[in-house]
Amino acid sequence: MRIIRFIIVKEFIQIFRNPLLVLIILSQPFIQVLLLGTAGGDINYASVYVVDEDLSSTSREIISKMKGSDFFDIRGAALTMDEAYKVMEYKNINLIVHFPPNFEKKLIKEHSSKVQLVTNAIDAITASLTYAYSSEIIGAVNKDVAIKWSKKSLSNKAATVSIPYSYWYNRALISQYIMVPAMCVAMVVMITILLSGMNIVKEKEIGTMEQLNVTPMRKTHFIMGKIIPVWIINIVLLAIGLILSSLVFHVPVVGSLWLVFFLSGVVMFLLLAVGVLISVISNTQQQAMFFTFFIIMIFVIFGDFITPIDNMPSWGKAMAELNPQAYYSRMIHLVITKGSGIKDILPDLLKVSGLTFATLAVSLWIFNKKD
Amino acid sequence: MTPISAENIVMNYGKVKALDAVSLKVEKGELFGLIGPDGAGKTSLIKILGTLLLANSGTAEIEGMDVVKQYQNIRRQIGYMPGKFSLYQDLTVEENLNFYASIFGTTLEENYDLIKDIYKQIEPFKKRRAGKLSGGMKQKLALSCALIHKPKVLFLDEPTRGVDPVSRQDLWDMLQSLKKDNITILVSTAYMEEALLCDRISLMDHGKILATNSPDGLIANFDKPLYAIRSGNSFNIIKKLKAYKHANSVYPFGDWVHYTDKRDTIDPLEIKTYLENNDTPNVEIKQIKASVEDCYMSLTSKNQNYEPA
Repeated sequence: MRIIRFIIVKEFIQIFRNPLLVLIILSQPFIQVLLLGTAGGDINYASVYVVDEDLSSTSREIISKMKGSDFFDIRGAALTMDEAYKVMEYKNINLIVHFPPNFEKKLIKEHSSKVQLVTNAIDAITASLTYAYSSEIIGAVNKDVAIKWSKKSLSNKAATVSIPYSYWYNRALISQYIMVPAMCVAMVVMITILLSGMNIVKEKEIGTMEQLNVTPMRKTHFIMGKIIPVWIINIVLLAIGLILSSLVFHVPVVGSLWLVFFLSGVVMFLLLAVGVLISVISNTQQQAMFFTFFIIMIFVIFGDFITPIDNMPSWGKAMAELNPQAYYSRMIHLVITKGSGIKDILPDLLKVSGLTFATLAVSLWIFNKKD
Repeated sequence: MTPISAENIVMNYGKVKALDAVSLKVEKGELFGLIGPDGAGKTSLIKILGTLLLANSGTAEIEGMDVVKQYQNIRRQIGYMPGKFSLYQDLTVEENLNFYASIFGTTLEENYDLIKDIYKQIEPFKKRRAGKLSGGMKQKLALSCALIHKPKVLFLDEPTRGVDPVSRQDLWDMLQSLKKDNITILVSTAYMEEALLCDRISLMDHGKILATNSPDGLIANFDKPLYAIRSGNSFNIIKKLKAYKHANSVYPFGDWVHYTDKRDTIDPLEIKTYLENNDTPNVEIKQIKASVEDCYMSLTSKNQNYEPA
């Protein structure tokens, strides 16, 4: 234990002798959380072109409802679809709403009529959101029309069922409540793996590893001495990240803050183990750097960050089972946004611990075999 | 108990035989030199003895302990100074020493006596980062770190490579002075003239030990009369002498060409006449005492005769 302490002291001296490194590390929470937390905003705007060949009261009602919404920005109207397509091609138009001739007449006579919605799917997320919102408006108008006509023919009260909904755990659907904790997770994943990976390879590259190998120091002590400083640094970074997320974005921590740090501390050991594995396999810092970026890319892609894991094919879900970021991201959201307790995240914590021991065991085995 | 002993060590790197059945014994308190050119297998041998490398076959013991089974105990007893400077460049002189001392569970103060002759030369710079030291001072720091835990056996892998002549002399003086502390030292070098500073040496080439002896003993064993020959054109002398029917070995040595004959006794005049009859005027010839390098050259040529490469 004493030796671990000496290595930790040495590590901290070395880190603080490298002012640029310290600056880069400490700037991470500010850059990742502040900048990216702000930049990753909501989709709150879609530009619309209208082709109204019907010019009826119903079509105008739909258009005026769209105008009334903050989401849609009606940029203009065209007489024909060809004209509208051209506009979509050359200008940045998200949606064309097309009312065919006799739209209203058909609606009244046949109780059914069609509106054409053409979305610009270059940006898939905006396209699907635009489609969903405009269908909702048309649906609402449709219901009004139905009520109006049924009033005329039948009794004065038509039964309608309305479905008001609210987004649980994030009622206002503020994206920052999701994005900012996710950025904290991404930051911790990146810095932990990168620092621990580089750290051990550096000793190999400058030859101090060999010098240490002729001492009675045990490899487990060496690894512990190398990773504990990185662990401490990342706990500090996480604290800075969470303070910023609370002060700047007012992200509420519904669950226990202690639990957030506890689960982070546990996940960090898995990330450190991954870093150790990388550094044990690599011989130079360059190799370790490439390796780390490759791994981080995979962790992010299969990390519930870009695509939800639930929407992935089964092999993607299987990969997520081995991905520290997926566990971390899931647990952080459960505790911060949903307010889950330790019981809810216990299965994930146990899996993370199991992965940690497995990774460390493999690393030590390779380490002992190679050097 | 022999401080260092090795039996039939074989080390292969793929198809390359780095060490070919090497055996070695170093006595207590000896300053022992491994002499040979680059690629002779010196570093591999030192790493195997220093528990850093596993040999393909053969056994080795340090202070009676097996280098494979008891490597943990051996590591408490040995000091190792690799050829490349491998201390923490971003730590100060003092921090490096304290760190290595603490790894061995000791302190700088506890073993100050052993290293003071060396350390006091760099002590004025103890707050300076190791990376900012001059080559000679780095060497002294590395030696201090290797000695910080009072090792019984010290391994130095080419400590004088790339070091200026004054620092080289310093280092050898320091090694000589360590003998009074009864530390057994195994040092490798490619500089033949440094062999004379060792108590005993092994000449190595292509993974084999060609001879092990004291430098004087080795020179005394040089059995053939050795001649140094010079004229304006060394290249021509070498060419002509190699064509000479009685020639045993011919090789350049500074401005001179060293020559041995197949016959036991010869008349130098005969060679002078032979050369002057073959477009090499103004030949100067004298019989000289062999140096370690001459021994090495004669041994390697024998070695090559046994096994033509």
